[in-house]
Amino acid sequence: MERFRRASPTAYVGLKSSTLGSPQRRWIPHHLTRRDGFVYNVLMASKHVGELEHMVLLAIVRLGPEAYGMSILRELEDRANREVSRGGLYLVLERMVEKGYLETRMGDPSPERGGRAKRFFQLTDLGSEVLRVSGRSILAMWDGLEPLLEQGR
Amino acid sequence: MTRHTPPEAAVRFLRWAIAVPDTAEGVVGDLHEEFLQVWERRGRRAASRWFWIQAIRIGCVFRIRGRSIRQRAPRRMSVVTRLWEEVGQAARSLRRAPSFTILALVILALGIGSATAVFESVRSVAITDLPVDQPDRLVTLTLRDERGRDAALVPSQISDMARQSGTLQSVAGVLPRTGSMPITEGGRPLVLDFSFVTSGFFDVLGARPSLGRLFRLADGQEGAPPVAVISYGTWQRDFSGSHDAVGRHLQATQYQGSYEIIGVAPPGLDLPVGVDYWILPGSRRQALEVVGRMEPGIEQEVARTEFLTLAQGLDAELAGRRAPTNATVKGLTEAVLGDARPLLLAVAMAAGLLLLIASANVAGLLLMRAARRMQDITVRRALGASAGRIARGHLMEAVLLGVGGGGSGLLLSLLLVRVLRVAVPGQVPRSDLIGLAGAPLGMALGVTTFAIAVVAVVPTLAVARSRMLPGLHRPERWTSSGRRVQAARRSLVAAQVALAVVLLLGAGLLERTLRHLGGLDLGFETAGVSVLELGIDRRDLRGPSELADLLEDVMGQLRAIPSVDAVSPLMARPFTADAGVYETTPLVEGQTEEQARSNPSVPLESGGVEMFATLGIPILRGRGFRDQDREDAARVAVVSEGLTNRLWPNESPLGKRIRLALGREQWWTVVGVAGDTRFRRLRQATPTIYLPWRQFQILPMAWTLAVRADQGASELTPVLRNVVQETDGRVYVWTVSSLGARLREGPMAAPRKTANMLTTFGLAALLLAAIGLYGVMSLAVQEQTREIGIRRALGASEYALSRRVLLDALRTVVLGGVVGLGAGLVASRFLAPLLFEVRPTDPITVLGVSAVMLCVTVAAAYLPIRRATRVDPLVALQAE
Repeated sequence: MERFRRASPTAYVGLKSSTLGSPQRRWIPHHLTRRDGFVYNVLMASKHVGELEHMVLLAIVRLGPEAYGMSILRELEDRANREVSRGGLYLVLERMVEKGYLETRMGDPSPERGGRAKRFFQLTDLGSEVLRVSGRSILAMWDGLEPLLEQGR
Repeated sequence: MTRHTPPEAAVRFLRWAIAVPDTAEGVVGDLHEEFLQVWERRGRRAASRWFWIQAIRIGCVFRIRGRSIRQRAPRRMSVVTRLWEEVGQAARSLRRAPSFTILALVILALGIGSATAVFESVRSVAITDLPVDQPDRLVTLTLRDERGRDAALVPSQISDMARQSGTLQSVAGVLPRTGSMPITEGGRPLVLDFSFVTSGFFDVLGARPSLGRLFRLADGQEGAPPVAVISYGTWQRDFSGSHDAVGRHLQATQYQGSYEIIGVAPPGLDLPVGVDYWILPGSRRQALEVVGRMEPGIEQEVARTEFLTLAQGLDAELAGRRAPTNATVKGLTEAVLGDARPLLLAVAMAAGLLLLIASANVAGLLLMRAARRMQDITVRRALGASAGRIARGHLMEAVLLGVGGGGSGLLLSLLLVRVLRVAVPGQVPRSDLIGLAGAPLGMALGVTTFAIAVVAVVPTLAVARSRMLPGLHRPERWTSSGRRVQAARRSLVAAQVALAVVLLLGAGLLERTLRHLGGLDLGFETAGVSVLELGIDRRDLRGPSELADLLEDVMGQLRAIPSVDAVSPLMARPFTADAGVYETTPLVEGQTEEQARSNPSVPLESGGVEMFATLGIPILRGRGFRDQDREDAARVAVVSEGLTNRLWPNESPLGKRIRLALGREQWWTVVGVAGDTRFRRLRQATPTIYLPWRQFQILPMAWTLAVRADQGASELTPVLRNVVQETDGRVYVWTVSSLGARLREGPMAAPRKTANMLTTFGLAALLLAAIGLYGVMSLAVQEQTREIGIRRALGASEYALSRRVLLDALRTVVLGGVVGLGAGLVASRFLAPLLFEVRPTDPITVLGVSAVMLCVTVAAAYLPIRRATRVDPLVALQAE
């Protein structure tokens, strides 16, 4: 039997159930059908996304089609009050692209950027799933503890 | 605001650190955005500093922690791969414009091919050393008497010289000009020129044979069998380069002579020029010139003075000459090449000019192409492509064209070298070296590199300097870069015109020379006259009277041929001033020997009764020869008019007597005066003394007959052969040619062939200049379409428009033409030795060339003018 392929930006994960538990590891045989470009694959999704990644994903969702390096940085600064080093941010973005959570799209070149194009990021289905899982986890942990947010430290 | 760019180095650092191109573009682009904002807020310096800090930080992060990401980076292409890609791009771009590419390739191939062939030939002929040891130590020494005539030495004197000389290591003798005699080899007749040399000749030179061996001292001793060494060219031509040439025999049917071929000389040993084979002197009184090898450390001048001193100590009478008073020394290489240098130089310059023109033409075509793509270039620059990258693309195209042209040029040059070897004028020495060295790869490479340099520089500079404009400029508008391109293009065309003018000037001068030479009154008629050379097997003939009878026999039979009008023997072939021609200083009755020394030295001609009728030389006074003028009758002579005026200025020469050569006792009575002729030298009419052949019997090695007939030489030949064969088996026909052919192949050959070459080059250059002019004019008309439309709309007539375009074209041409005329008039000095009665600054030629240029200008501008006048004002104004 062939080994599984690493998750790619176009990977789709089929989860047996969307319960709040860790999804089960599944080995999906290759002879299953491919439908609409979806490839059934195994996710190494026992890991949740890290905190920064979580935030970046959220920012991207919120920014919609205008999510690129600069705008993501700004969003994090303005909304989450979080100063991120550029290098760190770009690295994180690249890692997530590699893991398949994000896909990229090159925009139009413009003179303001010296003739270079903007690189837009967008969540893949896998990324959405991962975000949802992580989000639910966090929210589940925060459940009932919202007053903590109000109190000063 | 968009003009501010972040520090290039920082950008490059980032791009290197991030490696993945898309990521890098996004990151750098983002930084660029913010960079501009920082600039707005805090100024340039702060922005640069900020940018650098960000770049370093991000770069470090990516380098240190981003290893996995970098694995996605495309592998850096090696330089070779990148180069190959650029080459492919250039090739594709050229393929999209096939007509341009093919035109450029053809032009380059022509220029490179002809230049390579000519340079290679000139190099092998003039620059490679003679195939001898230490050629700079070899000299030729000539003696002259007080009148300036040659005073040569005989072989024994040369041996004496060798013993006595302290400055010359070794000495040999050589006949400085070639002679010819009828020979056959294996039954087939050969027409070859020979020279006499002493047996030490090749040893002095230090030459090595191509086959067999060369002369040894033993070959010159009494009783040694007669031997011959053939030249390399003869070996290739007449013996097909076969190895069994050694051992064959050259039969000289005049004597019992049979020369065994013992070897073949090395290629390029052309001493004297045009020699086909060397033999040892048949007579101990053969006059020879001296070739010597100087002792180490001796200067030419020292050798010369010693030589003269020694020569004066020798017995001058032995050679039948006067005592020498002057000696000249010349390096051997100079002696072989000297006369041909101007010709070689002219031809090399012509080829170089053609190469220059062709390259300039292609450079112009490339400029035009770049101008047409200016819009495309501007867009690319606006998108951030560096000037360097675009220029490199154009450079690559130019180089590709150059290489393509060079390759096809090399092939063309192989063909041209073969043509050159055949078509080269006889005066060019060492022509057997042309094409010997195989494919001229080195030369082709050098020439191609030069062509590429010319072709690539101008367009690349033009492209690299083009400034980016705020908006995309419209092609019809004149822009600063467009104007500059136009100016460059025009100056290229002007340069081509100048070069074409130089070449045509030379060609024109030579054409006029040929016209003059051809129109000379020779003093005799060439039409209907053939020159026949007979070989005689003398083995069982006894004495001069038998020979004379034989000749009369043959002539009688020839005269009996219906189409033949007159026959006369000649002393030697026409238009040769050397071997077989006798000169003498006559002594007029009443002069003392002292006075006679101031008489001119005059060539002698001997002929038969019908001599003057055969050659068509008019008898001005008195009579020609009669049948009675034989051995037993009184000696008579006919003198030419020029001589009459010289010797008997105011009186009739008829009845006066002269002696030929001092010391001879015979008196000859002048019975007639003939017109002056140019029988020996074409370029000057020489005074002549004519003697009846039966009274002046110098038995030549071959009999030369002049035959006047109704038929031409080619039709006559078989008839003559038959008749001669039937008359006597000991006589055979060696060569037959018409007098006109001898004239063309002899003295007219050099100027004719040079003229042909210059004309060919000149016309090619003219064609290229015309193409260039046409290109410039059509581009100008295209760019000025709007302006022309406006003028039309305002009522300008077709005539006015045409005139504008024409004047525009003329401006360029006149500029180039003036420069060309100036340069040409200076350069025409090189042609001076070939010219005849034509000054190097001949005004008629100048006018002619100018007229040609004007016509070509009009022709080249014709189509653009038509296009201009056809412009529809409405269409032109709307074309925005």
